[in-house]
Amino acid sequence: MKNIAIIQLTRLGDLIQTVQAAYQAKINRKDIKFHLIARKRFAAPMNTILSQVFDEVHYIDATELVSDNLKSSLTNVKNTLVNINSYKFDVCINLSFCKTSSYLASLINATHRLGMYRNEFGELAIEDKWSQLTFSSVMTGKYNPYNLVDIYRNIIGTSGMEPFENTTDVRSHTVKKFCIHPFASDRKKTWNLDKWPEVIYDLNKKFPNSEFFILGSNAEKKQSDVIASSTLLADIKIHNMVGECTLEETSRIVSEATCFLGNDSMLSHLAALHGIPSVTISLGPVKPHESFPYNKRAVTVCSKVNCFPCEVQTKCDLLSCHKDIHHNLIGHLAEALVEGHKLDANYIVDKINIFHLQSVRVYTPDFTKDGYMYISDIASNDTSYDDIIRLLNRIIFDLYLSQRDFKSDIPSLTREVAGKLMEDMKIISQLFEVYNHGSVFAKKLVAAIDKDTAALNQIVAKIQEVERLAMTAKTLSPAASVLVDFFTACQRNSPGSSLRDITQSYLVTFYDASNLSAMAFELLNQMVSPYVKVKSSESSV
Amino acid sequence: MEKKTGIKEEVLKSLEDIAKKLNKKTPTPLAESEMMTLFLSSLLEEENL
Repeated sequence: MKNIAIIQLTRLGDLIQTVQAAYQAKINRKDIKFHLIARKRFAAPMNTILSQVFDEVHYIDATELVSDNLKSSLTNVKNTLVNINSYKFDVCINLSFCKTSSYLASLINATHRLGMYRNEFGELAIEDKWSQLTFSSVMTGKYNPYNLVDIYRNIIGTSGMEPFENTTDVRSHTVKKFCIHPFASDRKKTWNLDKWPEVIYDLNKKFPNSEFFILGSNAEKKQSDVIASSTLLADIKIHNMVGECTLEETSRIVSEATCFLGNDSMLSHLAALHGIPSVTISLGPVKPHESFPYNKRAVTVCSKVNCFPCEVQTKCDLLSCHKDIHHNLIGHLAEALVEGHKLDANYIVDKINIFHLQSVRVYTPDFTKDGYMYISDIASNDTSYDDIIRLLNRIIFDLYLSQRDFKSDIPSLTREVAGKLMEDMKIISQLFEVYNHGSVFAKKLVAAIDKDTAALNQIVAKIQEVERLAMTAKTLSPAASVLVDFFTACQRNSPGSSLRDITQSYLVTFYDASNLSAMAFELLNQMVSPYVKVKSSESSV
Repeated sequence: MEKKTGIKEEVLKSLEDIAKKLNKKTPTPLAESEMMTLFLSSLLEEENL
């Protein structure tokens, strides 16, 4: 029996997404014992859920580990590690990209490591390409095209498996049960609470005698009372469960729901775990492509404002992205899911008032034949610039990292977007040249590695110049940003046990970087070329 | 959560020693106890203890 240790030290939502990713590996590999290493305060309340997928759950309890002095704390850590390391791990997979997890990963004895860990000098190391991509594009920026569950699946290596699907027909529910989670971990992610009574009122008109369960933690009790006591809801069956349920009780309530509605939060992932139809609202720093509930029957709504999604640390009092989302739209989408309609562009055009759609994007999921999720905006005629860049990255990295051919039609563009992409093409073309120069210098470096030190220093200086130019391209073009960040991460983690090996890896990275830049240029060219023809006849681009 | 002021000073001192070791011209690999100290230090920071 093989043993795999998966480290997930981040929050509840990430733990649920880890369960979704590992679930597919678990059902397909009976010969592997899966272990989870997680923070006790997050993992213990959901032990029943975790134990369905993981054979062993090892807790990291900060309050137990840290005592008043270093010596006894180190003894506590040592004892915990001895316990965990009593299993002989074939692979240790760190799926959390935090500093603590990187040190922990290096303390787990394993034959192979995936994800972040620390080398013998305490330096950050990431060997596998999917984790390098995650580190370079998920942690920063908004152009990662992959759902976090798929990223985890790719790191674990669970390819070619169908995602879990709940086939219950919720139309058969004689009394519709709606779970509402109006809260989130951050004010920027929390839709105006005043909107929820209106959503509930609308839904009760569509589905009379429904029951509504408001869910949340004890800290959100007062806010939930305000919602539940709204005069608009006087004759509606509201069960205010906020602060009254354990996570496992909450999970049971969600699993029996007709539909879930809420902000992007842990509970939206819990609803996805049970395959419950879901409408989520993506606000502030939430990146829909990354955190969309991994669920075939889900839809998310977000604003079209330019500042969305923002960075977690960005302060914002205006909350512009909150204002464009109309409560009627949320009700309509929930109605469509409950009635089993196919949510697509035709449905949107036929059924939803255009005034509720002008300032929003409505994303729905689809799955590739390999079972990987991608989401599309069904409310807009033209693809946004940001979505084009994500599509570009999806095509490039599916092919480069997994030899998968991502099928897509050539997107419809506005002239403004076509113009921006043409600017990107110029930068990508220069990036291609820059990486080609990098290949030439890296080749010289390989040849000079055992020779003249002065010549070596000159070549290294040239390579550093190439890296600086690539960073400049990144700042000038969003289309270049993920490529540059990814290849920077690859170079910082060039594999090899000798200087010669590492230099050769560097050379290969430059070759790959120039190839992918050429591919990006060609893809952009194909997208933009129909509009260049328009330019010649209409002088409009 | 209870603040762990006592251990913080010890960890900081230990981190200084580790930094000195790693900043040497030819650094030697970290011992397991040093890696565990780095882990503890990070845990203290992230858990705001």
